[in-house]
Amino acid sequence: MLHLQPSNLLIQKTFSEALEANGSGSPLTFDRIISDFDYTNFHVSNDPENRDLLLLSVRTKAWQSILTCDNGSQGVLPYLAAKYTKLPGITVAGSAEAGFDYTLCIDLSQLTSETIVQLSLLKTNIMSYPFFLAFQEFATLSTKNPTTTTVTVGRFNEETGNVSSIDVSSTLYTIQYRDNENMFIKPSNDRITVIFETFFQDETDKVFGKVFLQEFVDARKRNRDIQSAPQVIFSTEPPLELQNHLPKGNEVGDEASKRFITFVLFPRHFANEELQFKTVSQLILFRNYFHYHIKCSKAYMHSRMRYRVDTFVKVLNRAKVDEDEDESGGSNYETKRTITGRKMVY
Amino acid sequence: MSYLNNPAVVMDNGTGLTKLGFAGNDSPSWIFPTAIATSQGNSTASKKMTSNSTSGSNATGNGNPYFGNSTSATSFNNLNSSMLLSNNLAGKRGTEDLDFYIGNEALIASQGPSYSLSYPIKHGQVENWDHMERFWENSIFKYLRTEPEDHYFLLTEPPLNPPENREQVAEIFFESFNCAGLYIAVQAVLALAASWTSSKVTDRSLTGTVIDSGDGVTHVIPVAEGFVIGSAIKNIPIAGRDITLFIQQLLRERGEADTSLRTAERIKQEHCYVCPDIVKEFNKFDKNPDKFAQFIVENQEKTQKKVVDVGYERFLAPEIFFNPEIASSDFLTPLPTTVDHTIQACPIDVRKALYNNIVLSGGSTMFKDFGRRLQRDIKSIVNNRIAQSELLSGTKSTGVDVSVISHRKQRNAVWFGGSLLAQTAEFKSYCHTKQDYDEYGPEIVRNFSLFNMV
Repeated sequence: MLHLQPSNLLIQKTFSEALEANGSGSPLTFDRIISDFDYTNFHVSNDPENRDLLLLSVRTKAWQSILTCDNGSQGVLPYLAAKYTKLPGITVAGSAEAGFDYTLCIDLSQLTSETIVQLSLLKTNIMSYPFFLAFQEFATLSTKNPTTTTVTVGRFNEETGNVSSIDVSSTLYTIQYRDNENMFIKPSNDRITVIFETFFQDETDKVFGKVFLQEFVDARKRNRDIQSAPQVIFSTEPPLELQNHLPKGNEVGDEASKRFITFVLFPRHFANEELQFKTVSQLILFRNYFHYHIKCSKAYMHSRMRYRVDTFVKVLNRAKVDEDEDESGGSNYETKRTITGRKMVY
Repeated sequence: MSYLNNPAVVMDNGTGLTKLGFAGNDSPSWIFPTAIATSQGNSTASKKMTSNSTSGSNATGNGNPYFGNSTSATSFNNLNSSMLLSNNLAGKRGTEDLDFYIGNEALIASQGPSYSLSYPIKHGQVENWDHMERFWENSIFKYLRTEPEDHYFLLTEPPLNPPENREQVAEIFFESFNCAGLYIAVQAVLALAASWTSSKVTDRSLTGTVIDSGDGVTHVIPVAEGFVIGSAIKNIPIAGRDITLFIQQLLRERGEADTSLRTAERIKQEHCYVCPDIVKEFNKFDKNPDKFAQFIVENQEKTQKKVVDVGYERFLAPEIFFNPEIASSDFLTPLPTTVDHTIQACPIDVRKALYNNIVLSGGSTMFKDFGRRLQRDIKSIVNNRIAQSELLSGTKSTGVDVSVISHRKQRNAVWFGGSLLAQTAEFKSYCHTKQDYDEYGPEIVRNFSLFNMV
């Protein structure tokens, strides 16, 4: 498994089971917890009034920041409603289930397998809202100020800086998807910059992480086949885009060990809906992908270590001296043996 | 790092099946074989075959290659990963170590030419740590979709698991996965905890005898106050598979239309029950032909139907627990006698409690009236002994209560017990955390404090 999938397998499985059981006339009772990365939990339960309805509730760490990322107009609610109500059998619950952020009602009699796939993408869809806003903003910005000058890649330089200088503060979307790590999205008139903060709790991870991050940066330089991939920049200092937004004086403790990874998306990466979905779902899973591979490489290291230890043990075993030889010379009394050849022990 | 109360992950890796899920749920989220299919060799020829076999397994999914169940390897072929990783270090080795499947996907993949199947757990204990580590890696990230740093884990181990194995598990979970906290529980103890759901259980004690019967072997395990009495554990080589084979043999002797193992297994699951007395049951069947059942086998396209008659095997098959001589020739001790021997081998002061709380666990104890028959047989053995000792000593005994507890969560009792314990508020305080591990090293997991819940 090289890539993580954007859809949640367990939601797919649960709803497929529910659909099948409903079809065969013996509906199941549900009260299940399903989890996803980054402090996301789902809860599948039966509607207390109507047995044919299932409730899918989600609670995610990122919710609060996504709800307020468009200056508090809570545009994510109509955004999700538009995505889901067009599917057969899904309605948005009037109020979210207690303890959860968002609830969908699913009518089992109208459920299709296509809808199940969309349900399993609920987390991806929620997280994609700030990206959606960024794409929109990009569209308006690019029509206002078509780029004429060639822009050096990476940092904001002066030309692009004054393009959006009027509303610099409002165009930075922040997704607080973990306690110590945030995701920042900044649209401009010719690109969208996505910045990840990373932070490692474990010292070993830090070392592995550094190798991986360097590889993200270098892979594109070395390989001509992937020139169309987004550019990746890795820095220990907060990029210029963020400097006005991060709290000052953060050179102590956790803050000092933060690293920043910047993805620069050009229009070719989000030209149509399909590309947008692909780009967004991969970016959302970036942190999980990154940590998954750190763990995989540690597992690989472990298997190499076990192999090595086994070979060393073999060498040591070969060097063992047969005990009988030195004993017969050194001791005064001869060793007594049983009839089968075993030594007598006193 | 605890913004939300993330549910603990409960993993029960058995010899045959792995049960995965979250604490608080009433059933495991995933149940699949503890099998891993790894790719053989790393030549380009095998790579080509990989693409063939994966396209085959995709077809069995729901069609869409992006969302299907078995998409994990498609990306290997599309991107040609070894070209991407052009760094000296990474370029030398590809990503073959990520090219594997677990569970049901492994069974499908192993039918192709380029994967070989292996079962990393043998007799309840992990034999191949490399495979097990990758199995866990995939089950955490792909199936459960959890970041192990954010979750506590409850794992299970068989009784008499050597402490070195525990340390290995801890090394993998803390060093590879950085899991937040870990608790390793003995399966029998969890099965006892699962029995608390039964209405018969009044006191929530961790003393009792667990009869754990899975597919391969049946264990009788006495547990006193949460500690397994290792010297008294007994195994019986009769379990689910033997019952299935016995049914198949009966079907063949009668010359039924379909005698496949699958049919025999379905008959076992749907029609079998335990009778109080074989002779009477034979008479009942002869007088009353309604007792005979019919089982209809359909082929996959549902075009052909075969009718299989189900006869005496309805009650004869589970009877091999109580009269093993009808099926096997080398093992002849009935289950009730073994349970009695087990309890008699325990210290005298816990024997009463052990008789009083005999708990069933595992799929092969699911037969109707299995518990009732077992209780009756053990009771008669115990009563005979009491009568004899009263006769010899001339004193009056206070009597021994025998009670066998069956409950609805029997099939996945171990997992369910884990889920029950892991959802309690105290669970996290019983776990060893990553900080503890970093401070003391792997030997910290040799001891876990017991759940003492009253």
